[in-house]
Amino acid sequence: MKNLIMADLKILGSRVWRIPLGFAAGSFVLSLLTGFSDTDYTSLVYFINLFLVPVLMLYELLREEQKNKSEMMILTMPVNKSRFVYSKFMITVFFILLGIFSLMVSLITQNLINGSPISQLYSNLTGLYFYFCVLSFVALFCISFYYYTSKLYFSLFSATGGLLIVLFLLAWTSEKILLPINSSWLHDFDLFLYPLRLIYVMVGTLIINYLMKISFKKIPEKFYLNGWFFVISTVTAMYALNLFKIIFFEYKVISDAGLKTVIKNGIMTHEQVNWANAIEKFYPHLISYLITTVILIILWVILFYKNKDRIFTYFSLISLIPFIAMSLPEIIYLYFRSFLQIKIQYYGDDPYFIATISQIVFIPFCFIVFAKLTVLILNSKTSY
Amino acid sequence: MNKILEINGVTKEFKGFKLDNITFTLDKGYIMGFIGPNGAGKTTTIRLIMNLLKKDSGEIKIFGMDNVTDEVPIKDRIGFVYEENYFYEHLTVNKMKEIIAPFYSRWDDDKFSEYCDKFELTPKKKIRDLSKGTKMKFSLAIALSHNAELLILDEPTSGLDPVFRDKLMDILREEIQDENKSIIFSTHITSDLEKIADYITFINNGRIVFSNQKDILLENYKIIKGDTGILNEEIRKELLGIKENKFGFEALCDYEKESLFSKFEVVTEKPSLEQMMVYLSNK
Repeated sequence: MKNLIMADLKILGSRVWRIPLGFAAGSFVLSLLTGFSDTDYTSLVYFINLFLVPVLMLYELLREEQKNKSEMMILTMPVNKSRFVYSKFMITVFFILLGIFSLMVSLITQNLINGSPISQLYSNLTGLYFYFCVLSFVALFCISFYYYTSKLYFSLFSATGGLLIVLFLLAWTSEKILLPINSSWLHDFDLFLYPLRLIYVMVGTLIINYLMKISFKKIPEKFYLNGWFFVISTVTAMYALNLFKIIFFEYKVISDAGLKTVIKNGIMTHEQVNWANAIEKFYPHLISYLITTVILIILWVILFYKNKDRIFTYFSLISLIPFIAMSLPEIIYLYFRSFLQIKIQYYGDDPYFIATISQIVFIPFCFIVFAKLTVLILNSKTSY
Repeated sequence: MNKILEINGVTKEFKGFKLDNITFTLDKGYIMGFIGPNGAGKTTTIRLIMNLLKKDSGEIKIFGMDNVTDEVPIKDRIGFVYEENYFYEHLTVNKMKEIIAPFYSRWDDDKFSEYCDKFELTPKKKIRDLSKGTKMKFSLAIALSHNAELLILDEPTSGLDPVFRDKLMDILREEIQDENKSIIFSTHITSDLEKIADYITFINNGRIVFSNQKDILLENYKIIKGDTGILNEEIRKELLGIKENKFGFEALCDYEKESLFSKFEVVTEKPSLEQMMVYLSNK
C-alpha cells in the first residue's frame, strides 16, 4: 500500500506542492485585492477555489494513468487489485485533506491580517467538514466510474453532474413533489398525495417518452426501456428509503412517552402539532407507503429482467449510487436517534452532534462501498 | 518441483469470443513459444495467468501456487515484458525504476545498472524520448533486474526490426543459461521462436491446438508438395491444410500420412512453425 501511494506521489512529482501552493497564493492575492480593506469580511468566498486543488490533483493522476495505460503495468507488479484501488482512494482523501489544509491556512492567515472575530473564523473552519464530505464523495465516485468506463472526462463530468442531480432531487423533488423528507412531510400530510405524486412522475415520463418517439424516430427501443428503468429505479429507491424512515423513525416518535405527555398537556408548538397528527395517521400512512413500494419493486424487477442490455442496466444502477449514498447520512442519523437511544430533542434545536457523527460515518462508509465496487469492476473487466 | 506453470481447463467467455478449456504446462528451465494468429487468445491467456482478468473456470498454478490466492508472492517472481509501452512517459528511466523497484522483494540495483549499460539506456532520458526498441530494452531490463524465475513476454517483438529481434533472442538465450529461469514468449512472428523455443503451444480460436516440444512437433508434421492431379477425395480428407494453384499444391499432414504419397512423385519437407500455424489456422 505504502509503495503504491509513494508511486502516485512520484508520478505527480512537483505538482504535489505546486498545485496547492499556486492556488493558495492566487486566492490570497485575490482576497488582498478585493476584500482586504473590509475588516469585517471573513468568508470562504475568496478561498473557495482551493477546492479545485484535490480535483485538479486527482485529474492529473488519472490523466497520467489513462495516457500511458499504466494501470496495466502496475497490476503486473506484485500488487493485487484491492490494494491498488484502496491506495488510489487513500491518495484521493490525502489530496482532499491537502485542499482543506490549504484552505484552513489561508483562512487563518487572512484572519490574522485583517483581524476578524475569531468566532467567524471558527464557524468557517467547522463548516469545512461538510465540503470535505461532498468532495470526497464526488472524487470516490469519479474513480469508480473511471475504472468502469475508462473515460476520464466522462467520469469527472458524471461525478459532478451526478452530485448536482442528487442535490436537486433531494432538495426539490424529494421535499416538494415526490416525497417530503424530514418532518416537512407532516405539514401537508395527505394520503392521496402519494399516489398522485407518483402518477405525476409516470405521466411526465410517458409524455417525454412519446415526444421523443415522434421527434427522434431512429432511437432504438432499448433506449426507452432503459429510460423507464432509470425512472422506476429512482422512484423505487426513494420510496424504499422513506419507508425505512417511516418504520424506524415515526414508530419511535409515537412510542415516546415524553411526546404523549406534551400532547396530553395541550401545550404544543407548531412542530409538535404536526407530530401529533402523524401519530393519528401512522398506520394508514405506513400501509399506503408499503403498498406503493412493493408495487414499485415488482415493476423494477420486471423491467430489470426484460432489459437484456446489461451496459445500460449497470449504468442506471450506478447512477443510483450517488442518490443512495447521499441518503446514507440521514439513515445513519435516524439509526442513532432510534436505536442507540441518544437523547436529543426531535423538535426545537437541530441535533448538530448527531448530524456530525452521521457525516463522520458517511465518508468511511462511502470509501468502503466505492472501493469494493471498484474492485468488482476491475475484476469483471474484459479488456485493458 | 519442476512445473513452473500449470494451466488446467481454463475458460473465459466474452461477447463473441470464448477461451475454451485451455490446458498446458511449462517446466523449469525451458522456453515456451506461445503462438497463434491475431485474436486467437494469446494475450487473454497471458492476462488470465497474471490475474488481470478473472477466469470463469479452471485452475492456474504458478510455482505450485494458485494465481489468485497467492497473487502477490507469485508476481514477485515474474518478470513481465509488454507488447506496448505502459510506463509513464513523462518520467525518466531512473525515476520509473525508482517507482517500480520497491515493489519487488528481490530487486537488484546493480543488476539494473548492468543491464542499463548493456542495453545502452541513459538513466536521465525521459521514456517518451526513447525509441520503440529502447523502450523494449528498458522493459526487459526491469523484468530481469528482480531475479524473476518466470519471464512472460507478450508479443515483445511486434513492430521491431529484425536486427533488434535477433539481439533480443540472444539476450533471452543468455538468460536461460542458468536453467533456473523459464520463459513464455507469446508471438505471431514464429521465426523468432525457431531459434530459441523448447516448447511450442499453438492456440487458435480460443482453443489449444497443440502444446509439445518443438522438435517433436516439427517431426510430427510434414509438408508435401506435388501436382494437383494426385489429390483425390481420400487424400484430401487426410490433409491438415492445403494450398492449391496452377503449378501444384502444398499441404500439411501428419508424418504418419506421408505413406499416402509413396507411389506419387512428391517433395516432402519438414514444416516451419509459420507453415504449421498458417495451415492449422485455416483448418
